Amino acid sequence: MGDTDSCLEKSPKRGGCKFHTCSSLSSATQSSAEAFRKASESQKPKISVFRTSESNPVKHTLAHSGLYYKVESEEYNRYMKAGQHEKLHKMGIAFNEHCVMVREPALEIFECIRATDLSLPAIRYIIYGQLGAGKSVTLAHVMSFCGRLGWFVVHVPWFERFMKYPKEVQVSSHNKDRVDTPVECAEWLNYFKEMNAHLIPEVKLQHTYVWNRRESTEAGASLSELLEYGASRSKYAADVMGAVLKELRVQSSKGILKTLVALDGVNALWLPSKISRIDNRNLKYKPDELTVVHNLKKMLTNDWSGGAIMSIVDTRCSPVDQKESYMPRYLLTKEAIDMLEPHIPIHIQNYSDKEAQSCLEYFIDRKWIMKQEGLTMEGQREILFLSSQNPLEMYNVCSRW
Amino acid sequence: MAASIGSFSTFSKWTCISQLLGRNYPIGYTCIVRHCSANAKENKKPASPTPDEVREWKKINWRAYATGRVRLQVPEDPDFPVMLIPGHSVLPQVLEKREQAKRPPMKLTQPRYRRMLPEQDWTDVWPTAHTFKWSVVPFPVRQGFVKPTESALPREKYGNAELMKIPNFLHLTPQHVQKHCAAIKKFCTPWPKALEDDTVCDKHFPLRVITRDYVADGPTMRDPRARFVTIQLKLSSLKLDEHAKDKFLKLVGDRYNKETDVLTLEADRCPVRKQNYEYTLYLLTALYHESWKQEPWEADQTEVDMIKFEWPLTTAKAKVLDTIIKIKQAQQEKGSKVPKILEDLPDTSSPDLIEKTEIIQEYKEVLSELYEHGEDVHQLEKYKNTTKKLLIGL
Repeated sequence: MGDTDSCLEKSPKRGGCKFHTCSSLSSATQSSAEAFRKASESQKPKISVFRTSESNPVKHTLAHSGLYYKVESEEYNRYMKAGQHEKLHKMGIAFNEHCVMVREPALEIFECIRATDLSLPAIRYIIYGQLGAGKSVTLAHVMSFCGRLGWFVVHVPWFERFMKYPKEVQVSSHNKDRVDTPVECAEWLNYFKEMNAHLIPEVKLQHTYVWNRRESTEAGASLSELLEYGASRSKYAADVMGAVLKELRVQSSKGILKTLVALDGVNALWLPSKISRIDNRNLKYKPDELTVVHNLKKMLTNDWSGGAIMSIVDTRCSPVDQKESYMPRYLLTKEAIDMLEPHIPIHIQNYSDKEAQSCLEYFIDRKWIMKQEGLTMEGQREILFLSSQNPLEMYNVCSRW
Repeated sequence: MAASIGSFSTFSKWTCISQLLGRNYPIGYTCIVRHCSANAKENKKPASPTPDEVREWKKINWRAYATGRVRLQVPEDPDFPVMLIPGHSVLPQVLEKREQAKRPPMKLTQPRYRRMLPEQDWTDVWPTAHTFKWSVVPFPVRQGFVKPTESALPREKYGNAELMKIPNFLHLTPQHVQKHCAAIKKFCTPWPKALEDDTVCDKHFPLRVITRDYVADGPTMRDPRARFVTIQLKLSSLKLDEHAKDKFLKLVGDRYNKETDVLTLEADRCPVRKQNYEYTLYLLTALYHESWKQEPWEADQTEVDMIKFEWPLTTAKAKVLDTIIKIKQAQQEKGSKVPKILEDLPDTSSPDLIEKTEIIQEYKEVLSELYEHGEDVHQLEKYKNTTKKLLIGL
């Protein structure tokens, strides 16, 4: 990063020493006033830097770490609208802008993606961290990074929609042993279409898909045709989803396009679903009996190349008796870990001191911290202590300051 | 002291008092009677009672007055003689009689702890286990809950129920123990001199048998709990090879403490202690010989059955080798740039050769540490560095 000064903003100076304004000092007190002045000059508030004007994630380097960048609204709607904590959206509305902090784990992933030869088998990354540490935001940052590089993004924000509370359940037309959740799959196809709208028109299918005796999608048709078919014929939505994923895998392996798979709460893929069996209401479907899970698990293998696989393990989707730790091996259990071996675990920690300071500066700038106490060193230290520098907790704590 | 209520001042004092007495006042609710004649004569509006008057009024217990235990003190004024209401007030003579009937105040002796001498024998004062007695314990002690809002100390020992609830060891002071020991010394034999060291004891007597006797004052001397037998043994004192130890540990399950290396077997299934003791010995023998046997089905064990990390059996091994072969294939077919460490890999056809490479050995070590120490951030960081080296070459 060459132009450090140009891309950094200086926040207005605060604080200062009230002793400077005293003019009528007697000679006896002047010496002490002098001492105060010297002391205050040495402790002048530092020039606070919490923001960078570099809004292109591709250009983010270690020099930007700990700084906020403004996400353009188009990019925000594309990559960050779904799958984020509700409070992030509220924060965006309250602050009248969407800002994301450039953090080291994201930069580490960027570095890995840049250094990888994409013709090698896709590399699995498992993102883990405490609740509210910023896993999903980091994923969104990676998504917008890959989006800028012209990658397809396969984002599944939350498996609960598929595995817990689907609106409809039907036996798959492709395989009698599996069940579909057509409404959710059609929704997801629309979501995928919106997210990759700028890339879809160029893609042609390489396989022919026969849906029934009359309907089929020929090889050579465009991907958008397939997506439209899935959205309009929700009976085949789950199979269309599988077909889309297959096309992405095949074409990425051939080097025609590049794909980022981003799965949030991936440990849900190995948990029993909450859907009652059609033949026996007392039993639930196993995860592998759902078409969606079956198809997404194929994306998690490293049989294909030309992309990267990001997955987040989250305590929120684990069952009640499995919430003690946020570690990936604990949450994924053996079967899943065996499938994902070898992978690169990425730990999202709470804010470092520098990041926390930057966050405070940002909150003060956006008037999220309004009280006089919040502006003092003492108050800020208390905020950091109360939130233990957890990003989500910092937002919650600061809302009362 | 004289009293009345402001609002009654237009009536005569007698009506005032009688009306007051006729009412049903709550216990402790009292009234001041005040001379209002002066006000009445001058036709002035009476002043409302001053705070002092109200305070005095409240002091009079009207229920007590009504039953005659208390008498209103009205200044003797020839214009207003005191009227005694039959059934409500009592004649002065009766009151005098009651006062005479009162007993003189009792003379209290000092509590025992104040009369104690420092030279006394504590074992005589507190010979056996007893609930806390405030009057006997000669030191200041406090116990009890203090509300966080109050800035007070916990309650002191006098009549303190909290101190009575908790167990105390005032009957087990060093002097007590000394006396007990002196009393039972005649039943003891001297400890063998050769066995003064614990390690020597463990060597010569590896088996530890724990039983308990129960003595109670009751119709029977038998106690069902006396049949329990526990034996303890350090596993290192048994002669076991690797297979035998593995099998032994699988058989005993949670009866083995990994940290102290102690095996604990407990039996209570037989009615008599001797039978239980023999049963535990039988168990130990059977376990030992069974673990030395090698059954044909033991060869079918998989990764899940293993207590330790067994690299050849792990799925991770197969997966990693598979990944490396894929990477090498991509290098040969597409000419892709592979991580530095895998560049010089000779032949992908033989997994054994791949397995001997440095990076796979490192991967194996990291994985075994992860298995044995459990996962934490530090271990996962190591794992990350290894896989990064393997997959990306960073």
